[in-house]
Amino acid sequence: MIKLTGVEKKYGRKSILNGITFEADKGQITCLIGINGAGKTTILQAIMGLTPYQKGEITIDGEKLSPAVMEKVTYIPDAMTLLPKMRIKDAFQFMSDFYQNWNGKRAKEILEFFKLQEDERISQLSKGNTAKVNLLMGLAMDADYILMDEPFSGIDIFSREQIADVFSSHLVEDRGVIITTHEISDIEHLIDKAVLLADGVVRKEFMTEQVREEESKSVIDVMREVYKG
Amino acid sequence: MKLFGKLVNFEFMRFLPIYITLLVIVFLIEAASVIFYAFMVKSEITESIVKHGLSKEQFLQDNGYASMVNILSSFIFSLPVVIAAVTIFIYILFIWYRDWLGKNTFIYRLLMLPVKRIQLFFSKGATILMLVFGLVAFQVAILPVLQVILKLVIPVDYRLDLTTQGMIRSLYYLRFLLPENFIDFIINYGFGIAFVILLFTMILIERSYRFRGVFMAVFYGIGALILVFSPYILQVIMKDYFFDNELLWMQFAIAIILSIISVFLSNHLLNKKIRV
Amino acid sequence: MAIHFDKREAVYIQVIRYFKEQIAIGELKSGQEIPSRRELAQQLKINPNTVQRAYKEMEEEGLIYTDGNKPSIVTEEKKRIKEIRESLITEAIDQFVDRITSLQIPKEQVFELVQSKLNEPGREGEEKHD
Repeated sequence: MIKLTGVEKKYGRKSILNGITFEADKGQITCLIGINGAGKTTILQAIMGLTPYQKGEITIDGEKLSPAVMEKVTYIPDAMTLLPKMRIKDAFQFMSDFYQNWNGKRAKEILEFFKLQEDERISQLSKGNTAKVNLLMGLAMDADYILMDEPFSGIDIFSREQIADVFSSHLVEDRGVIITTHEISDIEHLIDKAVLLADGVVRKEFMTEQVREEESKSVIDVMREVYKG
Repeated sequence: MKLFGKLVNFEFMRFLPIYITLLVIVFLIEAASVIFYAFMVKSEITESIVKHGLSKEQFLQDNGYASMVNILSSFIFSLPVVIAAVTIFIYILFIWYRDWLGKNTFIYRLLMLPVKRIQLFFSKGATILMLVFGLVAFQVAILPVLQVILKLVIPVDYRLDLTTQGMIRSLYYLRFLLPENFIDFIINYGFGIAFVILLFTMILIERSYRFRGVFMAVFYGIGALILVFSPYILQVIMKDYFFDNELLWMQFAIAIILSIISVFLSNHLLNKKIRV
Repeated sequence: MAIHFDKREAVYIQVIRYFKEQIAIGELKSGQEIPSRRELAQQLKINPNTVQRAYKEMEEEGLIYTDGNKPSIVTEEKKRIKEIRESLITEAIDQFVDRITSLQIPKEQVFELVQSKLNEPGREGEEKHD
């Protein structure tokens, strides 16, 4: 379980996170929803220790961030973080050099699924393919948790469909997934839990099937209540 | 430890294209200056002996033997060394900033590697050290090659050949980088390493606190320099109480203490303060 | 296999209803293998945990049966299948009667309207199942 308790972050005088508390379980897809600037990306970065926070605590299966946790959690940012002159296969080599949990067989499998070539250079990839390679680098790790930042932003409809398919596939089976988005409609039925954010606080945390079953509300109905009500 | 080796290798390979270019440039400039010198001396010999009918002994009395010493101590030979030093210095900064700058921010990948983050610090430092050692080794290795050029142009009677050892002694920078005394070696590289650690720490302060960090880093850097040179202030106050080498050892001790503090500070910044 | 999901109703309930309908109209036959949880999640583009829950409920209701690691199959109990059909019909009629009652339409008129609706061309095919 990834657990955030009262995480606060200020940048200068500006508050970015004002006491974020939520949990993301293994075996579930947790979706952080909020408009841009709500602090979604910052939360994922804070989990990975890529940005400092002043108060609160983040634990992964009860542990604080450590080198071992980096094998356990993999973060897929919404920007390319591989070197431009690398070929996809060089990136694979880099990952297999450093991570015990890198699953080369699965990397090849996903490469095929996305119809990418391992000789392609990172700098030559289209926007859609960049998103796919990013996803691939994360999914090919035998990690317990995957954090994905806006996997659907700014890419074409077919890439979106392919990426959405990943969520119901064996690729995320039994893993804990945290995904951020400002656009829920593509994945409304794919997520287990929704965490609604605004201005650096969690406005509501709920299981999607539960609000459908007990309150006959769609995820968007709940969002409307929270953000407009 | 295995991962540390891979990190160093990775960092080294990233700089390799520029590094090889640098080595080639160093060699070309040095070779060109040797060739220029050799032909200049040759034409002097020709002029004196053939045109003016001077004897060999007279010529040597006026001009001395043609030797690598003359080139190694000339201004033109400083140029490649300065180019190399500036390149390495820029790379001490760039080795960090390149991971943040540009469209693809590689620092994400580095910070998420399953290694202690201070290892990134040490791997980059080790890479710089390797680059320096590599340059020194390259310089030493090409000295005999350069002398061969001289041998091909100037007849043996007009030449004074040097051993590699002799050439190293003649090149001021190499005398500094490859001192014959082991203690000097330790002190020279100790100060060098301390300097790199200080710069790295200043970079990490800036990368952690960004705009505010620029001032903090400058403050830290100036503070460190003042501390390192504080023995001289003490010397003035104490009216030349210490011997020169006592002052040096004091400076050395301060540099080591500052380096240790810097490494701990960097470790803290990398773990708690760094931002992508 | 495709379901048009109502976004305001629990997905697992909709999956169960879909299976009941398929069993009732004979599209899924007694003893027939059904897709694995993962396959169904992929086909319907829904969360595998939701499918898992639907399958668990269906198993408890005796709609499907799983023997060890083999794929789940539709129940072989004829009686259960008949019950499913009947419960679906009852459910549909209940809903219909509820609505009609609230509209306060005379019985005769209801029968007449139902009759003519069912006799509309193009209804024949569907009628066979019911």
